[in-house]
Amino acid sequence: MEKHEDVQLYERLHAKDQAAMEMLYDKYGKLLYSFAYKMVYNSAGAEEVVQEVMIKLWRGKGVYSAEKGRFTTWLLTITRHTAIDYLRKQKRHTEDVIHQETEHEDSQPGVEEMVEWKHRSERVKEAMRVLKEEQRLIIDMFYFKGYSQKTIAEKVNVPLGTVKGRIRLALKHLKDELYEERRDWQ
Amino acid sequence: MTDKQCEKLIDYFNGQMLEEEKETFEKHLESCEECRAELAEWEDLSADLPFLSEVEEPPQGMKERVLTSVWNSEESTEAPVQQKADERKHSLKRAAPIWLAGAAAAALLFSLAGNGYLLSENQQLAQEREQLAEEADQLAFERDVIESDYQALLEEEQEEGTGVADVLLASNLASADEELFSGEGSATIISEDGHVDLLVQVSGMPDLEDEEAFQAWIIEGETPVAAGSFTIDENGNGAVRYRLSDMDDMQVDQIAITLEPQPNNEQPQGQVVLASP
Repeated sequence: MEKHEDVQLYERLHAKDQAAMEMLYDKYGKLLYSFAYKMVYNSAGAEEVVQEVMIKLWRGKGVYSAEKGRFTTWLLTITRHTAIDYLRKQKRHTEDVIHQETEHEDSQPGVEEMVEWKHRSERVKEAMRVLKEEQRLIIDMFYFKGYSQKTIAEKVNVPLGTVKGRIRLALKHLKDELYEERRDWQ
Repeated sequence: MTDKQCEKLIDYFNGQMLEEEKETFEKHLESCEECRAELAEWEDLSADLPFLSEVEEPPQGMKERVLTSVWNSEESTEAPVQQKADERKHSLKRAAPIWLAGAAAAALLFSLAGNGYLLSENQQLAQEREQLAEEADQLAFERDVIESDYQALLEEEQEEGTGVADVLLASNLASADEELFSGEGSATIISEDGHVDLLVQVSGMPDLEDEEAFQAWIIEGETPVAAGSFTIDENGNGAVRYRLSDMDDMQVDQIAITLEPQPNNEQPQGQVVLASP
């Protein structure tokens, strides 16, 4: 049902419906801002990223279709790429600071529209907690900092050719844990 | 070279490719089922990761600012922003909130510690490269790959080198006694492309004689550090640009201009004619 609403909103955006844009912002602005903040680590930068994403959407850059998966995932991917571009431009990677969110459990969103966030957040944090430190580190560098393969190899001091294997291993481990969680919950 | 293309999946996923490189990789992707499967898997596996973000409260007034920019973007005649890997050169400038300028100005007064960031990052990269080189001795077959990527990094750095300059310090230069010396000027320290430069501009300066030249000095505590000599035109205007990049983490307490009997002195011989407050 939620998917359907999103697709409707997206279609209205394409028809340049300003109210739809505002609704989209109200629905996802906070999530996108929080995600952008985690990536760029400053509030002005995060706002800039969200703004750029909204402008891209409004101008019809990047086309969403149901085959691309969930609308939220698509939106977050655009946000991630915009944040990576921002970081590269600013050259302000907070490279040596690895932020471990697993410790802050009580700052979760409570409002109804953020139930999914809360739900997925708890699950993925739980799964991340089981990962080895070096695997969390490589996921952070790869996903949240968007480093190049070369930079990751240098940062973790492994040969270039093994970086991909490390990332895959870390992601697989995460996936296994996530499925483990799901089974536990059922 | 298929294997080599497969290895580039990370940079494709992270948008760390130049447009041409990206097109080559996308062609490869069409023919490489393994890469397609891996890419899809990574997308799937990382779909939950954004939800690791802590809830951050957006700054006050953000909604209005963002939506105003969105509506304005519609009216703008500017070409649409390309959603390409090379968009970084121009993409976010338009969207920069006004307070960024204020924050940047406030961030540095009389200290270059912050701008040591790029330099120290370079040093760190250099150290890490050395470590990689040691590994390459043990794993000789890795070396070619590392070197080719190093070249790519250099090219990337060059390309990124066309970035925007940041002002680290801006100060007026004035005469201590306007009766004795009438000139005035300004000193600006800017950071651009990993370099830090001092720019001095003066006007209303009296004529020079013989080999005399004006010289800029950065005063660090009590110590003057030479920073470029210059002469003036017939209207008393002059300017000099001096690269400070090798003065990592220096403390700038004052900037002064002296009148020297000859240019490029190591230590000041003449008197101070202009100085920052």
